[in-house]
Amino acid sequence: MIFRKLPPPTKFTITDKYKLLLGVIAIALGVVILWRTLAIAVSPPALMVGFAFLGFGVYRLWLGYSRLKQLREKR
Amino acid sequence: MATAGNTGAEKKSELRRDVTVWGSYTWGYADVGADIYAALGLVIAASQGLAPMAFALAGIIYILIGLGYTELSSTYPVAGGGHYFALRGLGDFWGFVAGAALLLDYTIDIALFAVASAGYINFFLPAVFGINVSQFVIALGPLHGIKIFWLIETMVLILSLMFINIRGVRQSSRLNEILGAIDLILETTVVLMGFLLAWHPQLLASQWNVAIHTLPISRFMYGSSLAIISFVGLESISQAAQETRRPATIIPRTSIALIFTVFIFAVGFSTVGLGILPWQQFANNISDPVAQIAKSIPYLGFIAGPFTAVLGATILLISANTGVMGASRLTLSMSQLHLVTGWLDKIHPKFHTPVRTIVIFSLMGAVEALLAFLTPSVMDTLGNMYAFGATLGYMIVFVSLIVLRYKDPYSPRPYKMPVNAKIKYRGNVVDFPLFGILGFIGVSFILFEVIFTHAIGRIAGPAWVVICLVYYVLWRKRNKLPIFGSIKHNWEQEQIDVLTGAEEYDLVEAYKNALAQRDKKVKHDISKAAPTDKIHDNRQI
Repeated sequence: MIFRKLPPPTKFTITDKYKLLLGVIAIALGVVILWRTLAIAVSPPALMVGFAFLGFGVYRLWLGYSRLKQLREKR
Repeated sequence: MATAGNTGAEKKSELRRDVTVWGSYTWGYADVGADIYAALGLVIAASQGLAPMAFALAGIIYILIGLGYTELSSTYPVAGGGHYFALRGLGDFWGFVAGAALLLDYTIDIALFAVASAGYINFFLPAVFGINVSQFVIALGPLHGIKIFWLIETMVLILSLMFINIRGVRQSSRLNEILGAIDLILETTVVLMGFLLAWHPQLLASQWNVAIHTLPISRFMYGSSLAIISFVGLESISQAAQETRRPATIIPRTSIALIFTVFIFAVGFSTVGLGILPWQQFANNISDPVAQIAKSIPYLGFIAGPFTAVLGATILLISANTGVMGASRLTLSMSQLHLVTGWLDKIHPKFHTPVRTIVIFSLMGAVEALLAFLTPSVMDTLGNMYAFGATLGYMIVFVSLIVLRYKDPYSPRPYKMPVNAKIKYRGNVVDFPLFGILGFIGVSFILFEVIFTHAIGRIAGPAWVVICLVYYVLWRKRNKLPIFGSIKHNWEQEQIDVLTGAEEYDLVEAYKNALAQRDKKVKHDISKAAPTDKIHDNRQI
């Protein structure tokens, strides 16, 4: 097993909202970095960071979504 | 409350607290998250435009180290960390070598982070007092350019930490949570606003291109080996495991989130920094690189710069404090396992703190800082030593991880390093950790880089380990204990005690079941083999 399950969430907290917001911001930032970089040159570090932010944002949104889903199922 | 009837496990349990995933995460972040404040300038000065690549290379290896630590810390939730894993897997001798390497890191941790903290304090000197730290430089015989003001500040910080720890002011989980949260918000803001308002991809691309064509490979190797120090502090995961209730549930989540956050910030800061400022500016301001980035952000720089400097100074000082605390915890664990003298664990009658370890290792940190100030670059010298201790310790931990999969397959592993090959060993199917092998090769490569490129680290680091080994041999000989062999331990009972103390009752059950099944199998094998033995014996008669 990779992770042991935490008990399902009892409410949607400020931390969850913060995480979702951070996910959206990370995706936006990833897109901005990739767009601005590719407009000039293919810079490996910028591409790496751009994709990392995109991946991080998607992961955060997926986490937030699964918590919301758990909460809805519990209710 | 403790009663006379309490078992050892119950007493240990009293040390444990209800730390949430967030609390545990910020605990680690207050330690590991501070590293970037010290390492960024050093790595950019060495690797120039290739700094993001140096961070990424070291970061990938660090992720593997982190996953290894996560497995071991959740399997053996004790504060000894690397040296305990090495002792369990490889025996007393290697447990001591790992402990010596980590002890070097803790003392350097005290010195390096106190120096770096003073560096961020110095950010304010020109604006507040109209002076610059480079004005106060002295020469001592053949040694020139000793920054006496910075040296005095560092000594004051280290001695203050020493006295605070002797008096027993405990770093509270709440303080870590608050500081960790502020630091996360600030670092996120600096990276976000830096990318949005000040970042020029042209500058980053041009610095990258210049470095690709002009930077010698040895400089890049030097930079990437220094980059490992921006990720050091994973031992705090083990310490958190020792003091957390239900560590098997909390620790894997905490440490994996911590590993990836630190990685993203390290690569993110170097990328945003080189898109805002030329690498030379970082090389000239090696002591406060993050504040230099924050200061350069339009609209926010006037407030973000000083705020980052204050936070950098604070969080670095807390990180230096973890060095003082870590050294005392490590020596306590080493003395309990008969690797060093128990004399070090003498508790102060009034303050109830391990006063001897605090004084000895704080003063050792102060001496290391003093010696480093006599070299051309204080931060560079300390970074050299830090990288040596960390890579040596991590290398031994990887070997222990692989060996323990075979030697102790019965301990429940709430988290396992991913990507394993199933191999049959003594009738059991064991998961052979392929990522563990990859991590071992990666850390060995970094250690090779350290020895190959660090003029001071390659001499002073091994010298420290040799001195410690001389002590170990003499001490074990005097106490009539084996030097290369190991003292017998009842690991199975200890594992049950540790898991019971951590309130991981389902893991205790799983462990007992695994042991019972093993015993049943052994009994079955013996009974199967017995008739043959009888015949054999009869024939002999």
